[in-house]
Amino acid sequence: MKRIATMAAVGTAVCALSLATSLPAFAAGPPPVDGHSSLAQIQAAASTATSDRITSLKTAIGKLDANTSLTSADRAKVLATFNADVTAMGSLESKIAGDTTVATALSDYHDIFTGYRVYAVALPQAFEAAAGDRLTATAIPKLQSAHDKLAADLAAHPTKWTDAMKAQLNDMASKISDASSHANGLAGHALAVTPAQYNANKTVITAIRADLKTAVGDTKAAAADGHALVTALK
Amino acid sequence: MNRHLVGAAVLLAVALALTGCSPAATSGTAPATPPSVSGTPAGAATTAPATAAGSATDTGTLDGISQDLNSADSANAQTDADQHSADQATATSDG
Repeated sequence: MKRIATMAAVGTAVCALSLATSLPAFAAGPPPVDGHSSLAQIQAAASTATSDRITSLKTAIGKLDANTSLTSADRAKVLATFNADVTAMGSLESKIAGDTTVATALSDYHDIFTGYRVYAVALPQAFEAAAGDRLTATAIPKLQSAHDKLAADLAAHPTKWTDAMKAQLNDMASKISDASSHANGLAGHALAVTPAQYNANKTVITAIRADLKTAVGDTKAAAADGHALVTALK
Repeated sequence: MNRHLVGAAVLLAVALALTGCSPAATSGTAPATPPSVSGTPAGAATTAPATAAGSATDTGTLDGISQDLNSADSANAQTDADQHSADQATATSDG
């Protein structure tokens, strides 16, 4: 009796340990689906993958619906993509749950990723577009306005401006110009990227991100120039 | 008589124009300014109150510049948040 109890306890512990070690690996890593997976494994992984994407898309819809920087045309385009992807994820989950062969389920499962690229394309391109629209509609015009006022002050009070201040004003103009060249059209380029383009060339989104980073760096540098000049003029 | 009235009217019109009280001045018409690179209305960017050359920049002008810069800072901070959201999405596995 005692031996049976010990064996049961050991068995329970082994089962618990096995479950505990498998759950984090399943949750944290990529879905354990390959050519050797069973239909049930594929269906379970598909359910997790589609649910995760639906949750992320709905969260992003809430964020971007309230985003006042997106132009109305860009917001409409982003929300149309997001809502279509939410619908598609739900349809795929249902289809895979009803699939009866591994081959069909595996093909549908891969479509979750390659057909929609929710994390690689849809979500990043929306936030890149929002950032691009904000740069061109707010940050750069405000910096240009500040620059023009400073230039007017230089014209009105030339004796107050040292050579260093004039150089800083020129740098501000240069940074604004560079930011404009990187930000203009950025939102449109970002929203034009499709999952198929990403599948063919993984750098298509990162190249746009690089333009965005350069533009943001320029606008920050221009703002720093402006703040320094205001301080010098006080 | 009519000649006197016309003369008085002309003098009044000239006086109003010179003192900045003419219809053009009171209707908010902005002075001609060079076009802005960014597309910002040029009048908005260069309407800093003029002060005599060599005198200090007035507080209103500096406040206006600071407000523009603060708006740009705020937009940049929000842009950073958007970039972060984009980075987070990209970092998530997508097959």
